[in-house]
Amino acid sequence: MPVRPLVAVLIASLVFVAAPLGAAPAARLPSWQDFYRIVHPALVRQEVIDPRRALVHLACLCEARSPGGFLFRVVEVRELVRGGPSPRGVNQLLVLDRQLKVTDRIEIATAHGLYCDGASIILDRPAESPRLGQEGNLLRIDDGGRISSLGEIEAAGMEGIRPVLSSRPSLTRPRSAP
Amino acid sequence: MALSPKWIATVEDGLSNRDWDAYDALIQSEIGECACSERATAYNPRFIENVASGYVCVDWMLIKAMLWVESGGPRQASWKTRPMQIGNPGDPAYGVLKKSAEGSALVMSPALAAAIRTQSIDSPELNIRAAIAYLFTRMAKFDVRSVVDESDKTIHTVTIARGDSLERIAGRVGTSVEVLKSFRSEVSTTQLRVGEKLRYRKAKMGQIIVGWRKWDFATIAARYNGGGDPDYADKLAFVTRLFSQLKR
Repeated sequence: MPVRPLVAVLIASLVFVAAPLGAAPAARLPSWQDFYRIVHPALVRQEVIDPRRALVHLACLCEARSPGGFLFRVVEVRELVRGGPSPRGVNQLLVLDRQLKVTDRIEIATAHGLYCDGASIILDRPAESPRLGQEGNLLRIDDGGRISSLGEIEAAGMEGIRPVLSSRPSLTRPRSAP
Repeated sequence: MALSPKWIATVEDGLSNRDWDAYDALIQSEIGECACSERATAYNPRFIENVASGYVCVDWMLIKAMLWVESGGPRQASWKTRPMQIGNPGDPAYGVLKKSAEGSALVMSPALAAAIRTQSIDSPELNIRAAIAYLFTRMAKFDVRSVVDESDKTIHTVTIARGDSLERIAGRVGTSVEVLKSFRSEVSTTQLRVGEKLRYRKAKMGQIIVGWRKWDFATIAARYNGGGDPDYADKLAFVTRLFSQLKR
């Protein structure tokens, strides 16, 4: 067996086995390279990423904890359809369970993910869910990792998001506070 | 973000080169006038009829501006194949239209849907028509509501029984309160008389267009371009301003 796939399998097994089932914390991926090596093929397999498109951004944004305590990884993917001078973007925020299965996804277009706070995922501008018929920059996930509601929060006025989200802002603090 | 001088020079070629107008007639025909039209499949006359959706007529020059931005003009090879880039490898728009998904079935005429399914998307005419359909699909707001079942045109009757309400009748016979009311607008729950006959057609749950997004450059950039080109809205604005200098 070639070495690289073997290493990938070993890392994947660590990821999947390290954390017990249930509400226990999800295993941390050992490094960015490992994240890419494991998550990227998983997303290609699930036809979330299309290799015919140019992948321009793939990053684990944060971990969200559902109301029941289940942890989900939130991943931001940005792809470009090759060809034209103004390529179409396929930009998505993905929710992944411990097996890296995409439990839900939402098109984010020109929006970007900022951070997670419990079961909430906060974006810098609104996204839209056709399934729910709602839009907003505050996404809440349920215990199945599905986006269950979208609301509004004034992300730009929040404390702590500059310069690099070094501390997680509290959603209960007044937004107008300096 | 400032637009690149090279891109600006490219589109300014359109001021003196009439080849950039090659698809004007096609676009005008597709979009149509904002009034009753002989061409019933054109978008403006078709959607303006749905007053409740708040449709505002679209200027065909907006599509022309998108064509200039998407194609880069007649000097590009794709001008004579896929000027609007629909069908480029990995393009989700083409898949949406081919499957008549995401509400596009309500936007496309049956003839266009069939053409997209069966013909090559590398024909510039079909490519532009497909792009317009995708734009309208992305700008429409959809909802699932009870609608008249077009597969059953029979007009049925039901006799009101003691204790009936419109909701109860609708549930019993497979229609909706809205359909019952549409056959007799003065009917209300309090006016039902035992033994009276109500006419109705069958109803089913179906997707309908309930509204439209703002047709501004930022919304089009997000909804149509998907955030792929950060300058998309600025490019549309630039080309639209450029059109005021067109002397044809």
